[in-house]
Amino acid sequence: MPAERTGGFGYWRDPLFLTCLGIYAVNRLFIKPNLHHYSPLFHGHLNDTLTVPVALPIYLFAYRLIGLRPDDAPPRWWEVALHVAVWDVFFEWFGPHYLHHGAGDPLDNFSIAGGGVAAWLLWRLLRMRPALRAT
Amino acid sequence: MLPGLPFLPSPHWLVLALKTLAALGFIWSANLVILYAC
Repeated sequence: MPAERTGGFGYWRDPLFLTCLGIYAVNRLFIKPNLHHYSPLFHGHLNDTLTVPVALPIYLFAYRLIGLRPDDAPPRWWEVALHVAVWDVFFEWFGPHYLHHGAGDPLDNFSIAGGGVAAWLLWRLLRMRPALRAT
Repeated sequence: MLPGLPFLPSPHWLVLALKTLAALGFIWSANLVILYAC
């Protein structure tokens, strides 16, 4: 795998991706089934916030396999922003209006974008960490 | 251009177009999976 040779982004082995996938699984399997009332956080905003850190590495790996992504760099700001824009339109407008699935809520857009900004900052911090350790 | 076929795009652009098409197909399918399954 190129990422192993160059020390680049790990895609499905990325620690942030694995942590957020774990949080999603715990919410889906253990928290949501045991809630007796609708919770805006656990039924909605948490999943929206996890969209970028969980989905983006998979998408970027697909582009890498196809040959559209030239390297294994951590997600760039414009890659995050472009996917947030597409997901906002798809999940909050196209899905509810044309596929009649899901509900459009402006707060969901902020959750997806906020999760994207947080994930991008953490990916940058994780990339800087080995360099800081070496100095 | 392909030799003798000036109206066809060069292989480089054809490959790029096919890759873009594959990426768009992946994006569409993955978005549907997220919308319906998550």
